[in-house]
Amino acid sequence: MISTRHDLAVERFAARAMGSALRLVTFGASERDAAKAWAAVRTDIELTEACLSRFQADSDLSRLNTQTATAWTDAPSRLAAMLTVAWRAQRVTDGRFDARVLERLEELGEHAGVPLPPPASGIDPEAPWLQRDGRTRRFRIAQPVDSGGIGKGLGIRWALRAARSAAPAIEGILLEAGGDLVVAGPGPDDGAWSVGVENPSGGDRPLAVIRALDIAVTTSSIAVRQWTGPDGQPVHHLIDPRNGHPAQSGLQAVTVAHRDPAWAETWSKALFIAGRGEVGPEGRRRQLAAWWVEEDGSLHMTPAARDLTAWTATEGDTT
Amino acid sequence: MAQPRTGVHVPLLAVASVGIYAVSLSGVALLQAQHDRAIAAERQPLLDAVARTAAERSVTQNAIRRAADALVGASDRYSTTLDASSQLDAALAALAVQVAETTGAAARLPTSVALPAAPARVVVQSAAVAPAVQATTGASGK
Repeated sequence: MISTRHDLAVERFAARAMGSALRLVTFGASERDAAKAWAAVRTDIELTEACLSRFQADSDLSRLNTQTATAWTDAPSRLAAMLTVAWRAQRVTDGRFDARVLERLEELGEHAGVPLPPPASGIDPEAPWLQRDGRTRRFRIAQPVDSGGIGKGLGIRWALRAARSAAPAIEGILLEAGGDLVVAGPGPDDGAWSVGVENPSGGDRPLAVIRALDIAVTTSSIAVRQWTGPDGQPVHHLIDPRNGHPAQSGLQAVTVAHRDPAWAETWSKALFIAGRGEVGPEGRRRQLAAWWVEEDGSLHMTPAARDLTAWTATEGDTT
Repeated sequence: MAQPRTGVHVPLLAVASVGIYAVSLSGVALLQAQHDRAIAAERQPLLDAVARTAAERSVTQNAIRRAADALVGASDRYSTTLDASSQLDAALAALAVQVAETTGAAARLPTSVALPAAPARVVVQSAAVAPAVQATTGASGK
């Protein structure tokens, strides 16, 4: 559902990238500027994918993963940034985010088609899985890692910057990649962007509408990427690093709004892993704008999220 | 018979007497002056002490005046506090009466009150039609 409520031009572009839909919406831009921004986004996303995709055997990340624990590897700036953010995210989230869940995803059946070294015995939260040589900018990892949501968050962060640089006259930009998005500058709804929070149970009607301005909004959800595991049990892609199993969190989805898309991704995943009992207290304690949908389909949100919420369908009381 | 000679001796004797008197008077005056100076010298420390005492007395008087002023001020403030305290006392007395009345009323209350169960969840119903959006955040991989 796309609408415009303003006289200024709204241009839309769509393609597929990073295994999901890639969309760009510009506001207050000429067709030429909008096209330049879209071209810059496409080029930049391809660069990110070539660097951070675990589904491409020749990506920088895949090359790093094949040399696990054996050698120091040159890390291009994007890979270095991803590893650095992932390392910090693990510590900030008390281990709820961990890039090393890649091995478990492969074991459970979500194969990327890229050969990996024999799996390690498991995830030791205390083990320093990342070593950096600051002088040579080389890295060594103890286990294969998945850029996961952080990679996509960084991807749209960099692509937004590229679009801004290519067409600085554009007033507002909304860039979305597979349900994660970032908005910069004014939007067509009274100067802001209206962003729906998907109902993980299905349907086109959102559970809530966020009034977004210069912010990133990402969602961790089990609405997709569910399959039957090796033991015949249903599994999903949100692995709890603390036990190596798909998180039994009592939640269907967690959405977080944050100034940075990589950190929005980090927190949406970490809060999902935290589970139904902890998502509210943790979100409030960290003053995060977070919306979550419990297994019964009820929507809840933190006070910071309420400030950004323009509309809700139905809502529970656990704010 | 020879006639006595009196014309010369008498003036001489008179001059001599006057001279002796003058010398004696000068000596007495000198002695008196010396005595007066000695007395003055003896009295000088006493005079100095009196002067110091007078100065100290002035300082003491000033201190006493200031203390008196402070005492007056303190007295005024104390009076003000006393008034407030009196008012507070009166308010407490009134409150005590009310507490006593409330306690009496509370004593007549039942020991337990059955309240209806509070709803465990509050559902906020918004407008049925969702506003139009430019994008939707949701599950990755679509």
